[in-house]
Amino acid sequence: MRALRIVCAAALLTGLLGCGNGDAPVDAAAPVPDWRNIAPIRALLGDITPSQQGIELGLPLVSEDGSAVPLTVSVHSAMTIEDYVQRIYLFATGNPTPEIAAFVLTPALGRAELSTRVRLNESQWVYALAQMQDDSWRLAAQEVQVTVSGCLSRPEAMGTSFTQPRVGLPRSYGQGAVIAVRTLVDHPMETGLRPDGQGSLLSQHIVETMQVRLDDELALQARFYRAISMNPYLQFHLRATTAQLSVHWQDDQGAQVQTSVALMPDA
Amino acid sequence: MDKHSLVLWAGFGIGLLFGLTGQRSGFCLLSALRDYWQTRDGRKLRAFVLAMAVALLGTQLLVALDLVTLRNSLYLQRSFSWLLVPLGGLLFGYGMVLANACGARALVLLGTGNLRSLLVLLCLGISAYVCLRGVLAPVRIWLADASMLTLAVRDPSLHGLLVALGVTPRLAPGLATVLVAVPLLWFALSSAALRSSTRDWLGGLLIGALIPAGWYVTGNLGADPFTPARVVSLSFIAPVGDALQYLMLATGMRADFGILVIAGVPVGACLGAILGGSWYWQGFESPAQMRRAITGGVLMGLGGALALGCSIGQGLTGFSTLALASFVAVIGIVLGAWLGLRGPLRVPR
Repeated sequence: MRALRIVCAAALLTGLLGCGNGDAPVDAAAPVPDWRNIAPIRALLGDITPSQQGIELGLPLVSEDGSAVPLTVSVHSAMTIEDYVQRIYLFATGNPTPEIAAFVLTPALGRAELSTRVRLNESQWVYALAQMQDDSWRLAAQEVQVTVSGCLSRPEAMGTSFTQPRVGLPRSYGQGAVIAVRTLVDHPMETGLRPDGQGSLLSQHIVETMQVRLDDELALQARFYRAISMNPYLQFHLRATTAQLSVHWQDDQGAQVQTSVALMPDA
Repeated sequence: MDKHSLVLWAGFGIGLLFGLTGQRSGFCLLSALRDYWQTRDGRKLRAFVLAMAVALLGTQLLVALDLVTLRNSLYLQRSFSWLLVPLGGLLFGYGMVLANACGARALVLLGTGNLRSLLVLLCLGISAYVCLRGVLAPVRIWLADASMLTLAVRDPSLHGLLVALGVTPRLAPGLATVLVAVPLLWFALSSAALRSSTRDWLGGLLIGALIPAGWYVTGNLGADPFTPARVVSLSFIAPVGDALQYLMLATGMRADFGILVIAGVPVGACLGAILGGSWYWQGFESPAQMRRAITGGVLMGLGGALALGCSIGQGLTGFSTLALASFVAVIGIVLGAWLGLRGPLRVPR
């Protein structure tokens, strides 16, 4: 009896730890609302019907903090000249304006998987749209429930500085290995929708573009909209090669921040 | 192992130690207050006070050594509700008496085969969520906004208060810590009864030490400049609700430190009970007892949500930050317990 109890406890424990990585699996049974009703998606696709295979959008099923919801979009592609993802678009259909971000990718990335944190106004469907090198399109959608925050606190005044660029690389990696690169820069990402306490709205002030270069070759470009969370975070992948990785951000007031780090793969 | 997994395993380990120590020592605020007020036996109360002092000293040491910053923690928000925090404390304290255990103690008891505490925990977790994010959330937010008190001090803790009163900022944290820790330690350790009861003082010491351990795990081991997360330590209100939600939504949700602590406590308590030969199934003896458990669990969930913590969450964790709101919450909890144990709304045993 005693042994049985211990085994049950261990099994429950393993189950608890083994599950839950945070991203909901694609559920074939859940019907995706018609993307044709979403104007910006219709504008991009025209008459084309996108495939719903080969693309995944990962978001938590329920989010307490609508101001920083982790999002990962992943497109299955070898990322070679013959088969790569050209562009990825993200839309939040329940936000005041639906655009979250748009990315231009190149085969240098090695993997078409991008992670960021986004602002979701309310419970809604989020869409990801990918355009392949042969101009075919893929679409994924995920519903997110956004609840009120459990904290009583009022948000502290946001910082106003555009500083502290950070790039995170794995400690060691081989030549040609596909590595995850994490980037972050401090910026208030003021949406332009927040009241300033005196009757008018604080004006919009966001990071608009981000460019990633390997030596002088553009590897990834990003266009951010106000649905990207404060202190814009982006994780992408790169095929490791001996090169200077530089990341450049520019905001809508023309300010620029840049950082660079040397990629040094082990032989 | 990546940082997130490290934090999860460490959280489980901390929960396990809490459960094991709690089960072997009988550490419990309710028992402490009941013993002290009804039979003048102060050992458990002194053990709890010792835990408070150890938690405080350990936590302030981590802050002084710059290993952890508590500025973003829940307890040190500049604004809190002057109505809901004390009211929540009262509801929690009273609920604790009705349910005959607080959330943390219920988890320990669950590990020893006590099915009454399973019901208490379910009611606690669900009602906490009802209040935080569910049907009562709009009411809570409306009341909180109407009674929001924004402190004029920049640092809403005892050190901040001392600075506002003219103490030099460099000395204020140490002075505040000493001003509070010394009387607590004296109260606890001056008693021969406590000193000779290894079970009690060791329990208090170990559990008190788990608070700074929790801060260290979430604030240092788990600190990630790319993914800022709120620094937390032991708490048994929202995490109980989170754990229930996680059991149901694990495929679309990430586990966190709090959930793993909740998972670890009953496992540790179970281990302690099996080793000590005191594991056996227990249930309700009467419908009245069951009703009290349900009501107690619901009141603890609601009260704990409003007070931003429970006997451990505010009594030890919040207290270790010397946040002014935590003092208010703790006073509320003790008053609520008094109402149930000695006061006009005394609960029949």
